[in-house]
Amino acid sequence: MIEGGIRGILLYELKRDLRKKGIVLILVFTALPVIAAIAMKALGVAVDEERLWAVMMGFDIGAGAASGLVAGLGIAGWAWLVAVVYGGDLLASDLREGGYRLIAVRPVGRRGYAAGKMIALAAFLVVAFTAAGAAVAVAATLVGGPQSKAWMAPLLGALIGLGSLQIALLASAFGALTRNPMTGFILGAAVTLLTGAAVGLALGVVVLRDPFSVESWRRYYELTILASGAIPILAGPTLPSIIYYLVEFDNTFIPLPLPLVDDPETAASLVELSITPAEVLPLYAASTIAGTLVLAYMNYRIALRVEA
Amino acid sequence: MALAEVRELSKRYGRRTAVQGVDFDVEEGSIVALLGPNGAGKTTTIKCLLGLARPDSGVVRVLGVEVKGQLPRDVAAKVGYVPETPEAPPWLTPCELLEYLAMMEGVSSFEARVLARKALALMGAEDLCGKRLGSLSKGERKRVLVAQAFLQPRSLYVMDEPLAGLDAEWVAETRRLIVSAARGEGAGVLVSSHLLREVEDLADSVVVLRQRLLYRGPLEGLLEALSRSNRVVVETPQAKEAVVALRERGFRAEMIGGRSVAVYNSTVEDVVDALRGRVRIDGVRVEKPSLEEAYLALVRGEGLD
Repeated sequence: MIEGGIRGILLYELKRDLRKKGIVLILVFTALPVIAAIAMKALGVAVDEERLWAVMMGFDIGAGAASGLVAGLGIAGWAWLVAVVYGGDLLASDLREGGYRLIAVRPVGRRGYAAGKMIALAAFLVVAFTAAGAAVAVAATLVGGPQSKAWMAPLLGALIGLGSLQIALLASAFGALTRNPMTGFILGAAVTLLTGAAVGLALGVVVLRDPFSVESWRRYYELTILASGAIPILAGPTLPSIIYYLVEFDNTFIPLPLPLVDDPETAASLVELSITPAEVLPLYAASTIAGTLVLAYMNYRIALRVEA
Repeated sequence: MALAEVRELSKRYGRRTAVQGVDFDVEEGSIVALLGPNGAGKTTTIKCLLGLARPDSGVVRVLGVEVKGQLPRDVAAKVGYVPETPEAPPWLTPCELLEYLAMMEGVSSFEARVLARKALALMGAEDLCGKRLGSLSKGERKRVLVAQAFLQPRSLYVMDEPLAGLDAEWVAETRRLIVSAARGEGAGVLVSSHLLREVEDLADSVVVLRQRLLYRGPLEGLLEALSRSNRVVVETPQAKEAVVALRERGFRAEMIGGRSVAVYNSTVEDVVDALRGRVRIDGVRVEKPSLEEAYLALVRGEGLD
């Protein structure tokens, strides 16, 4: 009986996910890096052809400004936006549009409702980003020729979906508490963006005392990676890129740019990090899992307590 | 047997009292009308009964089981609910909504599809099956919401203003469904309305609310009490002053137009006596209010004698 009830909730929610205008957002954002890569190729601009899929996923900035532009449009970069769009009204739309009161009085109950909605959202995000990753892998092969480990794209896409679930759940909690999907969307987006900005800014102030020093930048980058790993909503969407560096670059982070360093002795433009992806992977994984569970529990409690 | 029991139910929203000390039962095979003006606490009472809202105090039982936070699973399958406002998930079609709701009641997807179409047919909504709920009119959505309560036979139907927003044809059909559920299947039906005339030929008993319980008992009792009501209408250019003067003396008085004051359940002599020397009286007459007017007087706080 419970399985039947949850199946009803799953179908109800998946239908909502598929019919939301947000699906257009996913299609557009998946197409953007593909179009950008095709355009670069057509214009004869150099892109990292062997790892074009990773650039299009947003994991790797490749070589040169053109690659950087494609990477800026990469899937990992906009996952948070899809998450807040889908999360903001996860519970709020039902509270507003009458679905909740029809479901909460049925045998599936509030527990089944909360569980079913979250499972459906997780499944949708995983499938959507897996498909986006697969589309990127195919497009990268067609545009850039044979790819290095492009099989990882759909798998890491699935992980992006799972990693961004907690951002969706954060937006959902805001939306449910205010009974307003738009507030959920805005607050979810604001908290996600401001948290990332706050980490960068705070560490910049504390660590980058000497912005012309290579060592300062190394410490800044390493602490940013560690701090982001400790904050679930930042760790989740970044986790797939950590795995990418672990697998593709033999457990090293690619050297990162030094924006203000102009040292004639070293003539350095990039800095290599001393921490490795394998060292931070447990932190990112634990943070993502813990954050997802805590936010899922919050949503569950809200669904149990809210009055229709 | 009481299918629904409400005892000393009280609920506040912040500082506002929604309902206080409300008591009533819904028995097998009976239709109970929950009457009251807008804001009287009818919807709050229904939500507490269904576990959609938590009472601050009091006890609510459905099919003999106390409702704490939500309807117990085995009870929920036996309760049909029609919400007050015609809001429904706009991204679904009526067929999808009813099918998924039926699945949430534990039936197979095949059976759910059959039940959904049968229920929609009860309200003549088969032709709406494939249209998005968001594109339907309020009346059409209300028909769908009435239909979903009848997905399966129930022991108890709780309907919050089920006739509001329906056109005459579907008001009649919904009434027929309500009567058939109670008289034919022996279900208990609680149906709320803010209009007496909507339920006067439907209900067996009536619960009249205005935050507190104003009347509870057989419909005939209410109608008889209301039919005994009279009102003395005073014509005066000082209507406001007259209302103040009458209320100071304990009369139930209200302005009806700029130059008239209605005084309920009193005599011409008493009213004239109370106004003598206070306001100019141009004329006095005794009126027999209609049942609806008497009911409105009751729920506005004038009460029954």
